[in-house]
Amino acid sequence: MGTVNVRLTDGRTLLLNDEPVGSGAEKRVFLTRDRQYAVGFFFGTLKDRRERVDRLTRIIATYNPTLGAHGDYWTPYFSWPVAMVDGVNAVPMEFARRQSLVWPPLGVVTPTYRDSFYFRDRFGSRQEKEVKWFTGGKASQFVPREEQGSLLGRLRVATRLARAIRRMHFAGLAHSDLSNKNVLVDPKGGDAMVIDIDSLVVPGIAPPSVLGTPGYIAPEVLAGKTVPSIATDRHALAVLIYQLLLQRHPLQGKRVNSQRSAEEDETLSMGARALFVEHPTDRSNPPVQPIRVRYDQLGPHLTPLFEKSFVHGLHAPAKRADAGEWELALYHTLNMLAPTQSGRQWVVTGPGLSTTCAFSGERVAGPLPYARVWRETDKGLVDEKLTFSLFHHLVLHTWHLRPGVSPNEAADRSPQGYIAQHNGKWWLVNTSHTPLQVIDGPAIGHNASVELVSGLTLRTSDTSPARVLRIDFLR
Amino acid sequence: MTTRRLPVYILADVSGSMQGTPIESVKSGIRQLHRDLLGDPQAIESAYLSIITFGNNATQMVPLTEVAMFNPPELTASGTTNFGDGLRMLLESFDRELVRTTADQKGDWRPLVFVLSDGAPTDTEWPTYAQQLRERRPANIIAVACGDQADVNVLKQVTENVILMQEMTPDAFKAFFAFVSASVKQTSQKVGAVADGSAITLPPPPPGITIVP
Repeated sequence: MGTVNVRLTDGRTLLLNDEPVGSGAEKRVFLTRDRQYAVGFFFGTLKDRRERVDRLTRIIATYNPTLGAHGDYWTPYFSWPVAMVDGVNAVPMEFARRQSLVWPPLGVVTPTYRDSFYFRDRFGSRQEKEVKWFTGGKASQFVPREEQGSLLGRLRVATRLARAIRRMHFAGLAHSDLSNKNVLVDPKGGDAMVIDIDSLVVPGIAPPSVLGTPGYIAPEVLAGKTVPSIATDRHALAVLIYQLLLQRHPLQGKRVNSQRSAEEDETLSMGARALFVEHPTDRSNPPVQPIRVRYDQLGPHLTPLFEKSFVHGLHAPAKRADAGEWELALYHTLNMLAPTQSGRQWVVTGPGLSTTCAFSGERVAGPLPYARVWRETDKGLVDEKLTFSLFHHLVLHTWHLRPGVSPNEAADRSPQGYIAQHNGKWWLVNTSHTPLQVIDGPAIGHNASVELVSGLTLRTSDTSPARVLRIDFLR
Repeated sequence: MTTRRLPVYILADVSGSMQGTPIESVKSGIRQLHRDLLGDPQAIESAYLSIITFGNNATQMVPLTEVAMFNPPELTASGTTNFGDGLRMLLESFDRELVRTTADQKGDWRPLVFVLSDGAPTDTEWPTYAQQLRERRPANIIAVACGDQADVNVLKQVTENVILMQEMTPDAFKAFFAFVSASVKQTSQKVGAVADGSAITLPPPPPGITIVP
């Protein structure tokens, strides 16, 4: 294998290995010799070159979240293009001809993926962790058990995915081909990254001609009524979250919608006649495999969003849950997780909910403290309808202790305290410099602790509105 | 079965002229194809492979089998080129193995068939079966004419998708099976986005292989 020099539009040059590492439907991908960057060159023919160039230029500069506010925070969330190759002097003509690249050459430069987004399959081959490996079915059996992750890992994956999409949508960008191939996930580490960003729908530039990937194309796009947009991304996002958490597709059921051909049936089943396999009243499209865990077993925050996305909003795009709602609901659900006795699995639990893991049958080691969350305002206490499962070594952050704070790009990530079980008793230790006020009791200052007992109520700051936590136990 | 199957049939010429390098290249090509599909989660989910060979007569060496359970067959080359029996066996396998869509059952995707031949048929029945394939259009068929002895016009009677592999070198076969693999991966991903099942788009063929217009 030789190397080839590539000149980027920003004047830099890269040294590439001259054999591709992979090939997609429209791009051949080459790695730099130092393996820091991948360059995807369009090959074959390219009809909409001018639009591609315009779109890429704006994606790299104008709409790049890794360059704006909190840029460093967003960098690991995306494989965002960093540069472009364009023009007759960019690569040697002989190289372009041998690789059947479009002429003049056009390519996209992205950083290579982190090592945690690869696993070794049972044959020892290195595989990218596309979502497809982690959504049940036969492919999951090829993934080593330790890579499968727990519900904790998968909820973190889904949270990061929703957060990344929320960021794009906030900037007015639609991914337009969000699918199980264009998102990498690491359930073991709770990480996710959006890739293949060069077909984004950018404001002011015509949308790409691709409809998306089967299984993720919104029903109204498949029915030919509209083109990919933020509203259709919301459908794809909901499908991905459902698949990652429940290991099945929300629309792939038993109902046959056309006997003329498999292709026509599929177009109707994912399009005009799409029906949620767990629709609460219309049971005509039951799932292919019996359901082990229902969508409503994922807790009170996710249940209404699945219903918005697949019951009310499946054929009414404006009713779908948006990425920000998913991010918040996933985060609220993470706060309800409690570890099982083995410490390997996690259960979405709280007052009135089961303490047995629906996936593994393992139980939470009880009694376990939890906090009900209230907000103290001038008009009195308001129930935030949230609970926190409190377990040994849980670290407390501002998002536990202040109302309206989420662990997002703007959050203060420094530890504020922790929970510990010691000699059969449960303790909350305050490591912050803000005292915690026990209602009808003492103030808990810096590095002081309070025993968690049923009925204990804590005001977490003296500013208004303050958060008030009321402790009880799951038994 | 959780999702629809994408049946993939490889109909390979194992007549005497394929002896030596060509048949060994086909064997290692099938092994490479299998290995390659095992790295693609979508293909693991939906692709099913079958190998049919024809020499003096046709044999289905491997019935339609999911990628995870597939074992590459041992192939030997000898005898005449009974192309007609190969086509007959292909049609018979369709009837026996394909799941049709009915009111209460989701059927298979339209099969993908790769036909490899390095010579002209020695039987007289082949035009009957070629006509059936052309008229019934039960599958998307890609025929590859290997070397300069292959009869392109015969293959053209089976399918309009004929490609020409000029040299029967191990590298040319390797490139061809890489093309098969890319086609299967692309079809298993894109299938369902095709409205009427009439046309599929295949990746561009590798260097050394040309599409016969």
